Amino acid sequence: MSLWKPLSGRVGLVASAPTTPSAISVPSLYREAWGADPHGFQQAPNALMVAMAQGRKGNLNATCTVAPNRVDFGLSPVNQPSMGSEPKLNLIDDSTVFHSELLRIINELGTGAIKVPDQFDRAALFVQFASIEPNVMEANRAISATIPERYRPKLTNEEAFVLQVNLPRAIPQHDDVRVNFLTKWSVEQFQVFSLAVQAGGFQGGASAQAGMLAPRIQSFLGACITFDCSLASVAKTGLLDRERRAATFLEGLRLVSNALVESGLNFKGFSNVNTTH
Amino acid sequence: MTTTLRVNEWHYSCDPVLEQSLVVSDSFVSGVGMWQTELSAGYQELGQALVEMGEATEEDWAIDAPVFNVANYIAGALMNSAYPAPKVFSHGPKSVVFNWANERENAYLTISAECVSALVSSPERIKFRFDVSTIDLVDPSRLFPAMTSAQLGEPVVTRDGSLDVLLQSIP
Repeated sequence: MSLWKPLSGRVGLVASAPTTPSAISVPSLYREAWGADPHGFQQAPNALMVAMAQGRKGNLNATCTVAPNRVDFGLSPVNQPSMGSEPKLNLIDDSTVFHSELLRIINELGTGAIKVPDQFDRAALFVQFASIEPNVMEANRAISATIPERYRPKLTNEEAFVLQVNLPRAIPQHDDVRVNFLTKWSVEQFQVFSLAVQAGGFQGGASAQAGMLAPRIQSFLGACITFDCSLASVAKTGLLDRERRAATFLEGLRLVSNALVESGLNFKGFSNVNTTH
Repeated sequence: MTTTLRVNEWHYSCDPVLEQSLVVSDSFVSGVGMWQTELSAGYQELGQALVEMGEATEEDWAIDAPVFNVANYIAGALMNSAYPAPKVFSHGPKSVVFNWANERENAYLTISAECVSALVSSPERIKFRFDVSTIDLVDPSRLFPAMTSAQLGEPVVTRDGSLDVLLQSIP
């Protein structure tokens, strides 16, 4: 039986005007978003490379990345210590916490508690759910069951299935703002690669493998539903104000909730039922 | 099909073994994934060149801060749309010129603080010319397929950097 869980989420802002690259401090943004210092931080040597800070928020991996012309706040599952057992692909167990963290980031971007330069005004919300399946046929069965009947193909053992639909629309209360709402149903292959090094590190020796144990690779097949809501167009010129930015994100979250219900998936936290997909 | 490589997290297990956890890469079976390595190297080089020009003190080498900001913004949009990385053709304090060249034609993007000018030319004639103020250039990625269409003289399908969809530009 399929067990669907959240896999990852990302609240992003894309720049629609030039910014001063040095105006954004990734560690500061991380602290504002996640309330603590990051565990790790990688600076970008120039504005065309990615800077990233990452750490933990409860039982979730939290990241803040600054790529060319965009800023993203991401959530993903924590990989639990394996104690020498086979590598495992983890999903997010608590969908309520996942949803509430996404909502909190959206609200704090709206109030300005998380300070992103105004030029980053194009909202983009990404949420992915997955069910790990033993083989292609089971994965196809799992994904088919979630596809609305009007789109649903007959699948058996076809591999690498992908179906993507975009339903653009205006957002409520701001009909000058249109969003793209992409839904992608797919069967994806994940590989977990585990590198082991003996405590004490490299002990010397001619062999490059001294101190290293053989890497382990484990493949997993996942039926995945991915939602991507991003700004399509704005009737007015100029930068999008914070109210419209927040409204774009909230509409994306609402559309995700509705789409999950239409797919027959019920996740705690994502329980807003309104219009169909 | 998306392949994600992950490595288990650092931890201490019963035997004295440490395991490193890291997302190594996400790759797509489609052409985009294969382009990314080459694109990345080209844009790393471009980004570094812009940093050096932005930090230079000699007048011959330096570019003004507003030009630096616009050039990075345009380069970021180019990269996000999987456009080949340009070379820096020339620069001065008030502008930077990006260039793409092949045997038949040259494409130039002249970037200043207020204006972006696109030019595609062959030895015989100018094939495409377009000027836009930086205030009106909300989505730079739309400009470059149009330049490519002008270079090729035929419709161009490119990947939209903001969405995982393809766009067609017709000259």
